[in-house]
Amino acid sequence: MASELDVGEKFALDGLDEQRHWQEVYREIIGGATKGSDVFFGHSIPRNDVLYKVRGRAKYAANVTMPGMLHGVFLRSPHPYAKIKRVDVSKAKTAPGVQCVLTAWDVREEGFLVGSLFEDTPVLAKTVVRHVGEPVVAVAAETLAQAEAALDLIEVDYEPMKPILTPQEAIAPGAPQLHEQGNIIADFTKTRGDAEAALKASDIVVEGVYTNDPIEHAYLESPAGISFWDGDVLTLLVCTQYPHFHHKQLARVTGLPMEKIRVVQSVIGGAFGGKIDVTIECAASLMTMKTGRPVKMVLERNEVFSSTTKRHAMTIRHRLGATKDGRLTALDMDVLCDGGAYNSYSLIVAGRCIIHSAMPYDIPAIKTHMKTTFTNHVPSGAMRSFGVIKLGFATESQLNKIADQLGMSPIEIRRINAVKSGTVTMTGQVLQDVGFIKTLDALEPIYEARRKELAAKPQTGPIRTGLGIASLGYGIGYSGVRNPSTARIEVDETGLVIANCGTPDVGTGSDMALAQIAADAAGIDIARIRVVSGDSTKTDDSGPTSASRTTYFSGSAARIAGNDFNRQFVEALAAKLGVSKGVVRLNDDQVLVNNSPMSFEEACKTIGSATKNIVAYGKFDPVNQLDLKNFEGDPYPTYTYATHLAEVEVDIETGRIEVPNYWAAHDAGTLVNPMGAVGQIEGGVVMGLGMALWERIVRKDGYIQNPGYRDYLLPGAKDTPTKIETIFVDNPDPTGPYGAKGVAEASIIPVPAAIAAGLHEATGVRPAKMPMDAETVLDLLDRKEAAE
Amino acid sequence: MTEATSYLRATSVDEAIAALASQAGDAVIVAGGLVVGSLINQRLASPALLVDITRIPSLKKIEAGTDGGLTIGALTTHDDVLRSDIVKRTVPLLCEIAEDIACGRLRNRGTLGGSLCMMGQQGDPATGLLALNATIRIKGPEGSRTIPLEAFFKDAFELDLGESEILEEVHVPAAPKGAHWAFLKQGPRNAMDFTLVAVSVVARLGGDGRIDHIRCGMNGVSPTAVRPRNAEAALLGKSPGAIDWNAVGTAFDSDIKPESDLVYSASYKARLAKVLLRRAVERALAGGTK
Ligand SMILES: Cc1cc2nc3c(=O)[nH]c(=O)nc-3n(C[C@H](O)[C@H](O)[C@H](O)COP(=O)(O)OP(=O)(O)OC[C@H]3O[C@@H](n4cnc5c(N)ncnc54)[C@H](O)[C@@H]3O)c2cc1C
Repeated sequence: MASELDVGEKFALDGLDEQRHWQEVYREIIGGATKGSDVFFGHSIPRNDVLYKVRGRAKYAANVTMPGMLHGVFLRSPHPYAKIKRVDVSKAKTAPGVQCVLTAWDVREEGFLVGSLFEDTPVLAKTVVRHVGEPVVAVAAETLAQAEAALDLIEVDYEPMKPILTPQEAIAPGAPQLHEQGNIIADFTKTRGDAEAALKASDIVVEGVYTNDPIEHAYLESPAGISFWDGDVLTLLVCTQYPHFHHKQLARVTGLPMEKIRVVQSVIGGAFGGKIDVTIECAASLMTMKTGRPVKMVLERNEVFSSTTKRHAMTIRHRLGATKDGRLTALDMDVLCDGGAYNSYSLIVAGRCIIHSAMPYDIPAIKTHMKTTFTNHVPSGAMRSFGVIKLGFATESQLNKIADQLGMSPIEIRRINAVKSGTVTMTGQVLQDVGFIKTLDALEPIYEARRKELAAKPQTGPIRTGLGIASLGYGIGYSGVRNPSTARIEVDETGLVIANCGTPDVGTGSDMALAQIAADAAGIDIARIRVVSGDSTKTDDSGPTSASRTTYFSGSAARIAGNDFNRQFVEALAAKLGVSKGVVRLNDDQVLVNNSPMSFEEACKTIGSATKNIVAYGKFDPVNQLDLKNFEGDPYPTYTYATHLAEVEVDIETGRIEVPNYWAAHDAGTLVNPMGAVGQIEGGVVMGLGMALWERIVRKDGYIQNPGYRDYLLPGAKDTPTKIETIFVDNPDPTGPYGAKGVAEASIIPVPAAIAAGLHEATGVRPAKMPMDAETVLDLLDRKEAAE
Repeated sequence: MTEATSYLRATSVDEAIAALASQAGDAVIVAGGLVVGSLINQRLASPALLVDITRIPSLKKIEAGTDGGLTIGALTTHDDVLRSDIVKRTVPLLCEIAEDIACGRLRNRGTLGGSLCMMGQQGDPATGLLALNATIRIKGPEGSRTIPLEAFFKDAFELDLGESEILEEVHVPAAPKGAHWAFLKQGPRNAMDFTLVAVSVVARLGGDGRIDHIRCGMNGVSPTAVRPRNAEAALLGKSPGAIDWNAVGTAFDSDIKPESDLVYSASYKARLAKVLLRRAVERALAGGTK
């Protein structure tokens, strides 16, 4: 098995045998995509993983089988909040096929609690369950059916308690305390100037309360993994955004030394922040340790809905002031946020939201407060944009309100208030190379032209049309902590180059982008490079793939490593040939020694076994520090900006919204792989559309009512805009690899506000609640009519 | 994970009926399997025997009748309907309905019989067939019987179909001369989904410019697909410009029993249904869609 996992054999169902043919095909594709150019950076090179994915041959964790493999399942809490009085697994233990029944009492004390930021979540509940779906017992059996049958034989006595279902209840005096730390996860305040006084002095102040329902990440692939002994190394193949985290965690949970553990990311079917916490990792590994056998666990979709993290539900009270010529004067924002039963990433979400309160605007006076509490809901966690989409919905909607009241163009009001190079943010950071206004400039002619076209069409009949604008500014990387990324590049005698990169590809094609950067920096053909990412024993811990940080952080590391590789390679060859390194060059995959060419393979052969001394290394570690008490400092090395324009059609008799056309102008720095970047933007727009119009976890008394895709409505192909036009403005970031910065998460942020603005232009109603489904919109139209 | 169940691939209607009879209610017919498969996968059903009827040739047919009508076998898929020249010629309404069912993959598998024999929501074709006054032929151990489709839908979980009976075919009579039709639907979203509300209307204006024929079929607003007879009565005899839609709406309210689901409330569904009914009637009276 060990060899199967090495250097990328994990990707296709039939391993290397299958991949060889497709890699050949792939070489031709790359050749075509980069024809006539001597760099890979900036070209639309298709990702190699799609070769397997589109043919149904990608090897996901759920597809892996091993000799002697057991199937693991969880027994989960049926109560939102209850004491556990007794757990009796005796009958389950002797049930047919059952090899292991794991309870909290089988987990060692030191490893009992796990968690991404705080160790607060029991591997298996012992004395109390804090949400429906919390794992209580794990069972491994010869077949899945046997494991499931055994669950029915487990007896658990619960003493149900009254659950806390809203943050308001959590902070009410006398509320039961869900954790030792109390019920508060985060309570952050940041002020700049005197917002209250500035609001009083403003010509215009708009107020609003903005809310959203929690939503599901809705990745295609359910969390899944398989643990097994590879010799004496406990190995876990799992779909995760962060193998190194699980590696460390497993060391504590199992008591094994670090070098006896290996966590490898399997091919992953989407994540969006939802594959960053613990699901099956600890239980599967512990059951492998107990039985000595491979244990596979694959969550069912209803388990995904009812037990994995969700996007936070927030209530945002918002006041925004401006002068009568449209200059923003003050922002007062107060956010109450449902963090669910455990910490997960709530603290990071809160911190990022505070920092982004005013983004992307320069507002002189600010008061922003955010409180996140525990409740007995499934934990809220990381999800694309870490909460900022909800602030965007509020702030952008408020700004549009002001523009309307002042009779100002939504583009103009943004231009007046935009952050620019040199703007000092509320944390005191001086922004550089800001491309925000360029995104406004790019959209303005499209907006004006489309307005004219629509104005020429009579708005009769039930369908009304409107245009809506919203923008974003989003920090790249972790908030205010150093989060270095590293890369290591090696080569063997045959000329195979392996680039070990810390941040795993979670389906975005980041491996491709890293290979492009590394190839250019090293001066070699991209087809030689195999990116190995997501293996906790092969790469340094470079943090998770999240926060839009991979291109910028890992890309920079890959560039440094690539340059280092070129230097070391030239030195090694010069040493071997006994010439001075000044006469050896490696460029465009061509080796020149005293101006006479030599193939790369030949050069590697010449260097021979000394190739293994070539270990190029790159580390990118920008200094970012933020004082999390007063929110002073430089939280991110750089920011990405965008402006979106949505064309909205509303059927005023049914409330149904369609979005036929959509434009997105982004400042993403220089593009590494334009095709990949466009894919990220389009995906973000459609995901934002889902949150804006349909998606909603329906909860009642602590239970999720719609734990499946039948009643949880995702947008499908027929719901996406006929046209999504992506525009990238020209704005290289000198601090990023070849001018690049991140693009992944941000495109989701302005979508709901842009649609809400379009709805307002079409009908005069202003939604303040997501999702804006047909019934919600019809209600708003009714109320408007009643008011008139 | 699908549990193993006994499985029989019947080659004739009689063999299938005998198999059903042998299991005393614990057997289930599988046509396209879209509904059955999903119920079993969700563990909402675990029948002892699956009777696959897809290899019974007599159930797969589309024939023009001598009366200007049409006979469609229960195994006909939505895609078959969509591509049939005969259907297009005689009752294009059914093509129009079939065209917008779910997606290509589901239209290839899903059958007309399966969609009519589904419990609860009967799918879009039922609305058209109700509006077209279709009858169905059912065969069981005691022989064949023919009933109006409207009588087939009894309640949410009740069809006029015995445990050992099979729906063989649907007969669609010729539409009244000079009638026009319209079909409208709205799903919870546009993407492949069960329809929220669908309406079919067949209507005709008499020589005096008044409606002298109107039949509608709706789903999504009652435990079964229904004919809104009170609304029809309120429309009959009216001239298109003089329809009192409030009165039609009130009549319609007594035709339907919508229920709230996790996404939409009963009152929204009723309102949506009225909008779609009005639009469909107006469209039909204006000459239909095709
Ligand atoms: C995602 C999705 C989207 C859908 N969207 C739509 C839509 O937009 N519009 C729409 O109208 N429908 C829609 N449907 C429903 C679809 O039309 C029906 O599922 C399909 O036609 C059922 O046919 P089937 O042959 O697969 O049924 P099966 O699953 O094979 O059978 C359904 C039921 O009928 C019984 N049955 C089948 N044939 C007979 C027979 N000849 N005699 C007696 N009993 C029989 C079966 O025992 C079973 O109980 C959708 C379904 C899905 C899953």
